[in-house]
Amino acid sequence: MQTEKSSLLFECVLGASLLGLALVHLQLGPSETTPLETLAYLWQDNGSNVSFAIRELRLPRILCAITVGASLALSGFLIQVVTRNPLGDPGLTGVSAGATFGVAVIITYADPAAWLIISAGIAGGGLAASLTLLLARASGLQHIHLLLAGLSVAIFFMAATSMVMVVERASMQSLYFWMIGGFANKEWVEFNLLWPVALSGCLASFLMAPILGLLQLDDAVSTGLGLQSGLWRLTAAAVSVVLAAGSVAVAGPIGFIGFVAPHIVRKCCRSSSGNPVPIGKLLILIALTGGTLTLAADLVSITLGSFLHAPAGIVVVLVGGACFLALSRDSVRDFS
Amino acid sequence: MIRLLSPYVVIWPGLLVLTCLVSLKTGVTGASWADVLNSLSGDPSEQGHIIATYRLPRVIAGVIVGIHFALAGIIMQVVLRNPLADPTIFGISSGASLAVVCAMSVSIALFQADGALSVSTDYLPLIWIPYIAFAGAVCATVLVLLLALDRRTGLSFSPGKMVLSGIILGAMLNALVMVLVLSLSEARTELAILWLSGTLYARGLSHVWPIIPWTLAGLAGLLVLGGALNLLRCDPQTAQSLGVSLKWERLGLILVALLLAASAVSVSGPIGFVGLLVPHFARLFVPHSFSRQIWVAVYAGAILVVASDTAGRMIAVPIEVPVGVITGLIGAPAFAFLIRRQTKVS
Amino acid sequence: MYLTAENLSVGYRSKQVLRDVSLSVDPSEIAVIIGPNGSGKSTLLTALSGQISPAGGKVFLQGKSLASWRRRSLARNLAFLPQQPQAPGHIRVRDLVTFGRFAHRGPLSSPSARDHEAVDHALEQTGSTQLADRDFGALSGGERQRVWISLVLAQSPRFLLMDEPTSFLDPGFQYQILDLLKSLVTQQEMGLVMVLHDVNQASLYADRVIALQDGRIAADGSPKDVITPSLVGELFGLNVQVLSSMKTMRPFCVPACVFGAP
Repeated sequence: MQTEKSSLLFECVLGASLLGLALVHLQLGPSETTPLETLAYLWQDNGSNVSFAIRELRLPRILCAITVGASLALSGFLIQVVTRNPLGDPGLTGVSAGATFGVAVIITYADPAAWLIISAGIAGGGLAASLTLLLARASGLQHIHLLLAGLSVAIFFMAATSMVMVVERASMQSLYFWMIGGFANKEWVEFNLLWPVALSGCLASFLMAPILGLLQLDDAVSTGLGLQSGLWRLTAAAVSVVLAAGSVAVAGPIGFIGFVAPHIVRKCCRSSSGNPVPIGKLLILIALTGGTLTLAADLVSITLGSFLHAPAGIVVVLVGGACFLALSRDSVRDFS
Repeated sequence: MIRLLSPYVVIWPGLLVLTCLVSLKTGVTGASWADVLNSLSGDPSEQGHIIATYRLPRVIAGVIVGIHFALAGIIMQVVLRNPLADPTIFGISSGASLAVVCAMSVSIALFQADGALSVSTDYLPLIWIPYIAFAGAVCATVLVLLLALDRRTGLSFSPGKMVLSGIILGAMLNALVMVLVLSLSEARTELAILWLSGTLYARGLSHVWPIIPWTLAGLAGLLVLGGALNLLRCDPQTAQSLGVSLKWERLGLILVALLLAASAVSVSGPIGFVGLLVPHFARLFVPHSFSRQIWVAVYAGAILVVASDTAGRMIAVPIEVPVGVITGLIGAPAFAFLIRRQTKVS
Repeated sequence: MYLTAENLSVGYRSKQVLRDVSLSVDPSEIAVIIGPNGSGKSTLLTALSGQISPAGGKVFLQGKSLASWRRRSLARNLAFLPQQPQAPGHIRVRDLVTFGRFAHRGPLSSPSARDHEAVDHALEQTGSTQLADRDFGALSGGERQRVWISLVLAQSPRFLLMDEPTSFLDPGFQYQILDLLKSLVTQQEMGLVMVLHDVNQASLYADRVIALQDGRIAADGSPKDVITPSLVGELFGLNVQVLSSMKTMRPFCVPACVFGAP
């Protein structure tokens, strides 16, 4: 009973903050409106500047932030399941860096169509993920080994991206801004690029929910239960790469959401009776938490924007890093 | 522990000298072998001048930096009991970067009022950068150590926690660097990006002299603590029962590694993979002798940095690819190969 | 010289593992710690070796608290072998055994002739001389354990503490190792404290058995006095018949529940 209560409370708080943040976000800007007016503008376009700002600038930006956050959170959770390692995160496993490299190359050397950008991101991310897994596997998939393997892969792809930037100076500036990660100037074009990838990734992870539960067990055990665990681990990893690559292509590499969101959900939904939350519900909560966090980060970035240039990506890293240091204390107990 | 009479005294130094000579010969303005050799003996010609004033100091800087990273890497991997540890992960490079970018911003903010906008190096002489970077690296390191401090037992550090807080703190400091770089105007972004990828561009003897004391201190520290380091290759419990003080000797070794890495970062910026790769390479060559591994690492580190720097100057003439980018690119595949090979053997 | 624990208490996080344990070990006896899983056997041993600092109480060697010993001088008097010590990736047996001499030489000096002698002697004592130039990683489990014992012998300690020296070995090797340890203790003045899982092995080799339960000493004395049906029943929840071995006059437990017979 306790479980139900605490998780219900968490769901309510989560939903309320997501809606509240979105509403506040919609209003932020040079032209002031009341919340009711804002909603009215959403409902109906009256051709005014305010209406344009809300419908064509702020709404897609909000949707992008929520979708990117949800994708990254789910991607992080999938990585945590696949590697059975609580420190999983697309940034920390080199997936984001790989996707960044793929996108940077295609943007610099071609004038690509939208789907090509995403595919390049997926290819780069997939390459990075396989490299990290190979490296970490060679030394046993332990917490720290995965982290360090991911770091080396990330360094490699960052170096490769720098190479592109140094050799093709023309693209340096724009690539640098994109690589920091953020939602400034994200419009419907970007959202239209993002949502099909994010939606299919989310659907795939929900379909896999029952299997994800089994994958949290040891491979020997889950195989004994009749699961082709190797195959499913690969599938889950692929889905997480697609989710991460989509977000990177649109918003640049944003770190730590994939680690922080699942941990917050686990912490908040843990009960005294120890009944775990059903995995389907867990996925929804994680996605919502990721979306809310990213939206909040973007809000902070806009608020700070007047005196400091700090895109959402940076806010996320600073706040998320602090969370990481605090949260990871539990999971890092027996490293030494 | 140190046997001076071994075949390594001939082969490795020979390789290093050869790499340095090639590096001296390579550059935007071509030079012949005769030029290289003459310049070393004080040749007044134009080629000789370029080689003696620009390339030679740069090669020396590369050698010193390579030795620092290699030694720091070998210590880190043993002490943290982790074959994937790299000395640049402990927030060292990001701390150094942040300090440098901070200094650039401050100098621009102070002097921009004068009107004329030129490169920030006019306000902030290049010669100061290593000192500033060193200060930043040391601050970040202290922060990581504090975060990894085990409060219950007082003076003990959990190596795992150090890795984790180093990586996370590094990411956070990098984010701050990005904020500052973005706030700088466009002309400086490029300079900052170049410095952040690790380069030996325009590094000379004036940069090398200040870190020589650290090199000597590091070598002395390694000489005194080398026996303990050798024993720490066993698990910490066994090492402790054999007489190694985890509290003091292990901490001392970590400090030696951090000082070596921080001073190297202050000269060249973060050069990834050297400290990670070289110890593996040394283990591959002399698996049974730890003292020889240290010597091989010293030479291989220097060779790797100088060779990568040379390659960076040759790849896209007249553009110079930073040495950190080169080591990053060749490092990861080489590392994957070494790791796979080692697991196959054992 | 005695190894003495006074009112030792050790806790990990909120759990109290050792409560108020006091004992004293002679430098010429074999003391064996037995007890059920989680009774604090290994913790007691690591606390006696100075590897962990106890929350309460102190361990004394030669009347001086372990905490105030310098690590090196402690290592010359007290050797500890964890349950699964780990050797470096590639190392020759002789080089590994030479690690035992670390505490006997200065930080800057290389192994002296005396060190090499001690290493040779230690290898000889455990019958591993012919292994000296092999790679440690290529040895069998029994050979490895003999090399580890050579390592702690090279340390020439007054007390040797071992955590389950026979685990992961097949029965032949187990008794070989225990025989070796017994003969070493009688040969040279050395106290041996070890944790053993097998009550009968403890009975066969111990001069003194220390039984732990819930972090307290349940019994402490000669095998004959400690290994009784009531104590074994109390410790392990096992109904046993205790026989007496004709040759050694030591108690020997046989589970009474074999084949379901009461």
